[in-house]
Amino acid sequence: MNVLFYVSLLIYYMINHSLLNLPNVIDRNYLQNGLSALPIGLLLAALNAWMLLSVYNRFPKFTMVEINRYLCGKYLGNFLSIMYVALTAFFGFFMFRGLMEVIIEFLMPHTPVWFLAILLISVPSLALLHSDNSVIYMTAFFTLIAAVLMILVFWLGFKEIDPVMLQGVVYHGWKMPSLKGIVASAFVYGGYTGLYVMNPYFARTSIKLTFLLFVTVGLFLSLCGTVIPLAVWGPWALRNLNLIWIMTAETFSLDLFVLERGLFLMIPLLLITGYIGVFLYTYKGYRLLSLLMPRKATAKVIICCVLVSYVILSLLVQEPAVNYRYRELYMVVWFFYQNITGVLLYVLAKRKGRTPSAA
Amino acid sequence: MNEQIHKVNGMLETFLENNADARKEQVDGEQGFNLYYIMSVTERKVIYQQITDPYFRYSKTQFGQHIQSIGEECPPDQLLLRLCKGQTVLIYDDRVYTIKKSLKYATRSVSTPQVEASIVGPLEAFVESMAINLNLIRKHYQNPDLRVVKFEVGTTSHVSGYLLYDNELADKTFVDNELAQIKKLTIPNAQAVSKVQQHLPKRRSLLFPRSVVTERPDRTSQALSKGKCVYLIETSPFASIAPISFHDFMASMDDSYMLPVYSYFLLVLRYFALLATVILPGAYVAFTAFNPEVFRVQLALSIAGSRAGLPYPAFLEVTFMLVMMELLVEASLRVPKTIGPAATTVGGLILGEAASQANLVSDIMIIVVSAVAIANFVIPINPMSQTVRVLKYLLLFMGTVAGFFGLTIGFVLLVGYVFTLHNSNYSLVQSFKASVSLSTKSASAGRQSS
Repeated sequence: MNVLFYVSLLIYYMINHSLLNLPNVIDRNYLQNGLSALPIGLLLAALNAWMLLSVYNRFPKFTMVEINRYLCGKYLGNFLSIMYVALTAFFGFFMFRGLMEVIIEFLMPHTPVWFLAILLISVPSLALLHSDNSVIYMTAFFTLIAAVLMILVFWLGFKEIDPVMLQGVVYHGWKMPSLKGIVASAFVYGGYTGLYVMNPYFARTSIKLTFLLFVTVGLFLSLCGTVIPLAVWGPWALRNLNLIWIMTAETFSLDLFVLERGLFLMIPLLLITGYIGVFLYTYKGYRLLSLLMPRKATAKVIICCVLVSYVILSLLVQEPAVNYRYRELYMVVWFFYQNITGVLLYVLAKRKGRTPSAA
Repeated sequence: MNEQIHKVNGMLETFLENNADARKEQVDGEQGFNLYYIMSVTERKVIYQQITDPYFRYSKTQFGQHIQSIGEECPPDQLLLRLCKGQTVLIYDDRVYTIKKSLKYATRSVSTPQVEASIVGPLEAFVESMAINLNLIRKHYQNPDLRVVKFEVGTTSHVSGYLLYDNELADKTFVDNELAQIKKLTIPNAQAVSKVQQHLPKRRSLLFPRSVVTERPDRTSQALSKGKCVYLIETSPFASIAPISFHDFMASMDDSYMLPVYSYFLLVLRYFALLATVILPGAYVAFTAFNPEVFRVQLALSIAGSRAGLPYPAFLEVTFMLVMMELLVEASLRVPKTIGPAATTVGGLILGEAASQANLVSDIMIIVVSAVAIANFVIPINPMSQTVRVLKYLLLFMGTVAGFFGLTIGFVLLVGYVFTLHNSNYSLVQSFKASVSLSTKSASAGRQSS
């Protein structure tokens, strides 16, 4: 049963980032980027996952905070954990603001942003009521819905592919990738970072299964997420588009009961993945903070402050391009953090070996 | 006569003066052999057969042994309470005994289920008698591992209840927790098992029920065989089952009696009904007032055309119709059965035909409200059906303030909240298959270790 929930967590990340992040980085800069970033990103993510999963499987009852403290010592360990919490909080905001963009642009264009932000903040606030297993079950539930919607959207997308555009996509696909493209590709597979909090629930996690999912589901979603918009619009037209998948879905015509625009399949999909994304990042931050702080109430107060800052920042950062630029930068920082800590923890775990208390 | 007996006699005499249905019988004045009982809750025949007649037939030693075997000595502070519970108080040989056997409560015989109808299942339902209810359960669950633990609830009403579980299958930690919680209960008057269940969790649930209340012995038996606990209260014709999963609220007993394909079809239908009844009112407001572009053009125009003559916004239209529908449902529940159909017919006519003709509501709104009402009644367990009746207003509110966006927020919040609900270590939504013992133990182990 736990394996299914682990799979759903990985797939959720893949759906979310292959639709929200990856196209924004690769498709918008496709003429400089190419598709070669996808396999390189996959390889790097797999390497990082292998190192981290090996470490986490050595300490099946520990979360990231305890592993960091044990392997790196109290100060460096806590510093690494706090760094990750900070990165989580930042990405939570990028997701929050990205979601607001969709809502403002397509659903509530005349409603004040502060009102939408306050309403939207209620979803991550719910994280304070949850426990590990309830989060896992909830993620699995919404992943199932998202997967169904995604299959529908991709199916519609395949029908709209223009063979001429596809030729152009293949032609430019072999160019040397940029760092941002590689990082965005690796980000799609980041579901295993859920173990930072939920390792005691899932451990021991199968590395083979993780790789299998990366190569099958992950690569397929990444490819579809990047190629379909490119093959519908063409690389040239996508250069200046924001919200690439939404604009792509807007071109899909369908005859589904009461719907006739693909956009209204895409919006629920983006909303669901976005809500759960913000929720998961908030929950991860909250759980890690509650492990780091002597009192749980302190963690709650900090998370509440972070959520309030989301509302305030979303009023200040109203330009989507700014949000995208910082998000791309964030992903590079995340990538380096992930890989450096991955190598560090792996080496330290090898040196220290398994202890009775940890096993 | 010793001082304690004198004091007890005084207490009993005062009780007799204050209660017109209390009786004192002096069996033998010389020996000081007196009986006290409450006529309305005592079987007079039993008193004669078990106490009066043996007294005159047996020797003093034999009678002493007989009384020891059928009665028990009673501390003075428990005396009046036991008298109220239908026991006979017997003062004999300077000792005070109480006899349980004389208890007699009026009850009805076993009848067909009134709330949980079944097409092919047994047609027996619990009644307000613990003896009959236990008899029904033992008939449906003939297992030596069945345990029956007696408890008392209500600091003023002192009603007896039973906790039943299968010793082999039930989670012992859960059972111990529940028994500990029962001991701590401080509700003054508990007349229904659902009220007891509300107070058992550490935090009282306000919206979602934490137990399934059933009147069916077969559902009770099925629950016991899945390792769940069953609560019975003396005054209630219902049993309460815990821990439960959300799926239990959507499952009817017929599901396990009928062919699998048909059962799954009905199950899917019920979940669809649940979604429809919760979402439709909010969705109507969201899609008519905020985001009509979601629908295909023909449908959007049809809805707009239907609402053309209406003088007020969509949310008022929906609220008006929903409130009217709730009034109709309440009226049909509360009025005497003889005039119930008339009230429903009149209400239905006014709501359906007249309101539409008077341009108070659109035709499509009538379809929506009818669908919501019908879908609500499809949910087989009544407490969940009542919860859902309230939930649709929450989503209506969210749809009214922020359209489709608000509706999705409301839905995610609602689902997210349901996922947080726990009864002890058991989550409400841990397993679709309702096999609590398997999935929840592993999950709770994970939780604890984390």
